[in-house]
Amino acid sequence: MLTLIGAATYCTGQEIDRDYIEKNLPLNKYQIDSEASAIVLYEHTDIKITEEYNVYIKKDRIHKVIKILNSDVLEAGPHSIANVNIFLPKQDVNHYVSNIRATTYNLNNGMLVESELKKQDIFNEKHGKESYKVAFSLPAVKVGSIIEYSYEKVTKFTDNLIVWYIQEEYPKLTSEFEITYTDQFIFTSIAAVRSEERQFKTRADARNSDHDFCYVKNTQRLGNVYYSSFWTKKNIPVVRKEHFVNNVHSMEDRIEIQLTGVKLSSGNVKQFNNSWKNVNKTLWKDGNIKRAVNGSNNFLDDIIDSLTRNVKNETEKTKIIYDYVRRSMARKYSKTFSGKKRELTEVFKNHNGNPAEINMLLTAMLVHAGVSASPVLISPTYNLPFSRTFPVLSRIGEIVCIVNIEDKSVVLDASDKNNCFGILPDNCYNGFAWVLGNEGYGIDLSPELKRDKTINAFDIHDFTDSTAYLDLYQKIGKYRSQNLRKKWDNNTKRIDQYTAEIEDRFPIGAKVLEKSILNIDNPDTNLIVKYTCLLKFDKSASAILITTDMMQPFQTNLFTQTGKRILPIEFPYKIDYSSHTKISLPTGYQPDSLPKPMLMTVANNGITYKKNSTYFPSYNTLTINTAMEANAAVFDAGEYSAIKDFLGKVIEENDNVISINKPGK
Amino acid sequence: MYAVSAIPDSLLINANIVIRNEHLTVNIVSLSNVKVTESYAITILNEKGDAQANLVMRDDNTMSTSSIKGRIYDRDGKFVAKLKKKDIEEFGSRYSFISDDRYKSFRFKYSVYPYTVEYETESILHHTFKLPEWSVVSGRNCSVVSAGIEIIHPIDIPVRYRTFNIPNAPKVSTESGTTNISTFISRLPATGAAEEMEDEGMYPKPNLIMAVDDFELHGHVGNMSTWKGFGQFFYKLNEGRDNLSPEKKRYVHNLTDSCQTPRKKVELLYTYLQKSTRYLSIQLGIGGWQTAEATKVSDIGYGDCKALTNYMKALLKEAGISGFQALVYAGNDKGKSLFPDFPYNQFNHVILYVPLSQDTIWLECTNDKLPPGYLSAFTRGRNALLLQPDGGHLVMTPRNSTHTNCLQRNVVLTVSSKETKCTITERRQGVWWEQEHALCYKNKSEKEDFLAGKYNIPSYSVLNYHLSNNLSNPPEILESLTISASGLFKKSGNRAILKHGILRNYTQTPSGASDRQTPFRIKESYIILDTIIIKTPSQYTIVQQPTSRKASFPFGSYEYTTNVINDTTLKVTRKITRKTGVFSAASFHDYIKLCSMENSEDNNIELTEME
Repeated sequence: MLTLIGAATYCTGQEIDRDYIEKNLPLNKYQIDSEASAIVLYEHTDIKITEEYNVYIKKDRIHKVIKILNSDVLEAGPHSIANVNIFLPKQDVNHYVSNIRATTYNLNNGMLVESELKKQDIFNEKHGKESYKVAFSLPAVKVGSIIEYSYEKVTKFTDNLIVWYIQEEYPKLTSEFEITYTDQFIFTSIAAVRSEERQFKTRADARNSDHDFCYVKNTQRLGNVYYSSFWTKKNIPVVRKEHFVNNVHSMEDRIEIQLTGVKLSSGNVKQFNNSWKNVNKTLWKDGNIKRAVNGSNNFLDDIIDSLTRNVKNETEKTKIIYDYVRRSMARKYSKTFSGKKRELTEVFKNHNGNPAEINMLLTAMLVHAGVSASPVLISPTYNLPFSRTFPVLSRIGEIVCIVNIEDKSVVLDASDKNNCFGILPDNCYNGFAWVLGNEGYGIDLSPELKRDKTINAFDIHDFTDSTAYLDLYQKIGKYRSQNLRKKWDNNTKRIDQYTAEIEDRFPIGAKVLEKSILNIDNPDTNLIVKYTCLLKFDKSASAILITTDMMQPFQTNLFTQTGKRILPIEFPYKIDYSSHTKISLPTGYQPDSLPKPMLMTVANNGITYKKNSTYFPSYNTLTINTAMEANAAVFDAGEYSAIKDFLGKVIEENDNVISINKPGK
Repeated sequence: MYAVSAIPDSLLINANIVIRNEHLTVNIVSLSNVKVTESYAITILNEKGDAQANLVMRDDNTMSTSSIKGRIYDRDGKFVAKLKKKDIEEFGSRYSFISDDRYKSFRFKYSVYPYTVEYETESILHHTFKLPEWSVVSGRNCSVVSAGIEIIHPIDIPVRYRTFNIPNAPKVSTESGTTNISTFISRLPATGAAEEMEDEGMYPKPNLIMAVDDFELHGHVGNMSTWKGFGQFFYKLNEGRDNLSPEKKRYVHNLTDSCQTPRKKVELLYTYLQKSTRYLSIQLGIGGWQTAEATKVSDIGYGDCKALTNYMKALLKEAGISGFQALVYAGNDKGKSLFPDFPYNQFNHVILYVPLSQDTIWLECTNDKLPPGYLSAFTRGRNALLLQPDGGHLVMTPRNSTHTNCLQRNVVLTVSSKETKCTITERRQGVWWEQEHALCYKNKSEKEDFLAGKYNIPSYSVLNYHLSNNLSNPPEILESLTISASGLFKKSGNRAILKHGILRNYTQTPSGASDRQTPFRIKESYIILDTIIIKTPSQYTIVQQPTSRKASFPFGSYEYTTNVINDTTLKVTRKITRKTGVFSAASFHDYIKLCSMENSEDNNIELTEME
């Protein structure tokens, strides 16, 4: 059992007694997750923010107890679970690590053996110019071991966000988190937790409760006033990766604690970052974005003049400026939005920047040209989506641009030469976004806005008893075209791979006579793929067999999960696909039978599939049309099985063949 | 000076970067003091060349950077900016847990192409253990206007060197007790992208390697005029570090004393090593080359390749078996060739060689998944330097034979009008085992994910699945499963087609140019044996079946046969072989032909419903 002992041997939280270790050592599976490679038996994080010698100090005391169940957690190189890396921005009186303690417990022939970390196996390494790393690796760790470690990390308090990551890579039996700070600070906590929180008066009550998620709030007066919040959560599973989920980490429980105010020496309280309007003010006015974007920017005079001299139409002007930025600015540096940005003059002069800088330049150029343009803050899909009610600053990941032209709003991202006018990269469609401005306002950029229409047209004609010609015209949807251009990036090999995949789908023996891909260098248009092939059939066979839709979007059923689906199903956009096949038969050739018309729907008409065919005897022409359309990009987890079955049937239907009888046979 | 217009047109073809000038000076002052200065200017023609504009310098306990200067010029050669020290980033090793390695990196934030960067750097090596290699050309899209190297050394510290693809023989001159060796290259065009499967050894990259005979490393002296001497240095550097505690010695005896054969002892101790230790890279001081003590590894349960190999050696020693460390250049490719007549340091890994009376066992001590005696593609089939008490000896690590790399797949397709049931068994050995053995350690959902994409079937579900991993030598995976599939049997009226090619092919057909210039390489020999029995619905009769065919070439063969067993049963067999080696450019056309045959077999069977 976990027991409370006044003077903890490990520096924080609860003392782990031998009985508890001995009870867990022989176990090789846990009910919470029978497939887990490791289980966090207990963890405690204790954060204290205090003032010491006129400096605000943050003390993080960490204590963890982990059971190793599978060797793969020991193989992850420097970042294996048995290796602890503690990073410091610098090493001085205000930044250090102390009270490191680590022990590995093993069962050897039924006896408990403890291996303690030795001081000489704690390393102190310079990490960057000023930053340091204190690191150690637990000794004698193997499958079945329990490792326990704790340490105290002291740093100057400069964070505006503290996060308790409740759900992480491994399941947890008990996780505790507490924060204590003086009344000079105001923190706001935002909980993204699926369990109901229950408040208790004491920690003991909270720990002993049967309830999974408990909270204790205290106020102490020890000279200064201290506020403390303590949470304990039990039986925390992992959020497993599932297919068709944009970002599994955005589904994980967490509590974010953001600094939203300070008490000034006058006694007044200064509040900030506690609403979108406040954030707007901080970034727009105080953060100099307004000055950068709306300033005089005379360095842009010449280029704007040369680009837009004879252009009166606002839409044209926007397109020309957008195209210029898109083509001439190189996207550098994977970090997008960061606090310190280069001056736009430098971005313009060097022709490079991170995406935020490039889009700010775009916005500045549009404003300079008289177009109504504003920067937009986005939380990309690799972050949690923005909350409409409370801005968590660390989620800001991208800046794009919005223009209002001819009564329409158009969003633009010029940070990649393959981006399409009016379409953002996939990861920008993550829900609520904020337009910076004198007042600022929110907009919705969800995947539901995206519909990607792809059309395949097949024309099979000029039959002989052993051949026929096939013309394929494929118009790829704009979102997919954008992604393909980025993937290819003008690399002939990659383009060849794509055409090879198309050619793999032609009937066996088909000979490609001509092929072309149009609009590769025109990112604002759909990609068009054209093929002319000579199909070959067995001369002696009495019939010709032709597949209904050889280019169907799903060659195999990607819905392969067998267990219960937990997370919503997220497609990158609303699917909209259609195929039209026209078969012009010579005299004497006739279809053996027509495919039956079909209409299938799933998820309350969320996705529909239609198939119909018509035979025109007077022209001896057969047409087959299929279409699959989705009215949503996101579906409930409960729909998974139905969608899986639906897709299986669609694939089967599209794969079906039509038999064409030859004359006299 | 750096106007792009001054670059000859011939050097712009296929180039993303052009080296305008480069000069490397290696000045060996003493055995523990080597001054390396380099100056170079590169014109970056487009964004694909940007990475070459970055400067990265590495420091550790044995070398330090003393000076970095840089400038950037625009397309007309006009000066734009110079490197500022405050913009130099610093970071530690990204691969080791702890390391002495420190890196300094810098890049100009400029992207108006083309532009030219110019750098001058100075470093001091506090050893002569590994001298710099002169390798100007950074890739196939790099051309060179001019580049040169100069080696300066006292006459009592002779330097050996070897050049590759440098047309100008080095000039050697001696004056006032100092020898000067220099050579250069000029007007070297970019070769362009590698041809498919091109043998890396055929790439005509100019290169100069150098070494001294007597050398010093961190106070330790040695001689590498012969591989024997080189090996002796390592042996002595790591000698005496293979002791065990009394407790560990007792453990070894308890474990192995009752074994019938030495081989069994090796296997038991290797398994014990795999279960009780893990790989962790800690490179400190002379840690890069000197192993941690075996007692330390026994205590902490982790170490790098040297430490784990040394520990294994210590365990074997206690069991009365001799093992010897072997230095290799590891990596999932051919590995660098060692030159029998040019000893020099190019190793990055250590494995263990255990000679027994009847055979030899090689042990990879950093991998807990390999069976004893089996080397993966990481260290297989390459030169190694064996470290024995009398010094170093060049040996080859074993290769896998064709039959070691065997993939055998048996399929029974039972077709009805409603579904197709597939019963599949697979036996994977050698490289095929390496390809999939990690699956044995995955959890249920990860296995399901993998199986979902394994077969060439539009839609299917796995009804049952069994996987066993046999850690023999060669290791082997046995897989058996039953699948319910749809989309393989397609009807139209009274006709139907049945697709039976559900097993994926592992060789893509290369696109291939008709004017191929370079030989091509097949990395491993292997064999694939597939047998597919197809049972069609009783109310259908087979009217068209795929035709048998075969082809044979020096690099491989393909055989595809179909046999009608009865009215509703067809048997298809496939045999694919490959032979490792380097083959002429002219025969690549035949290789494409072979791959096309394998990938484009007409795998549809046509059936008619009986009346």
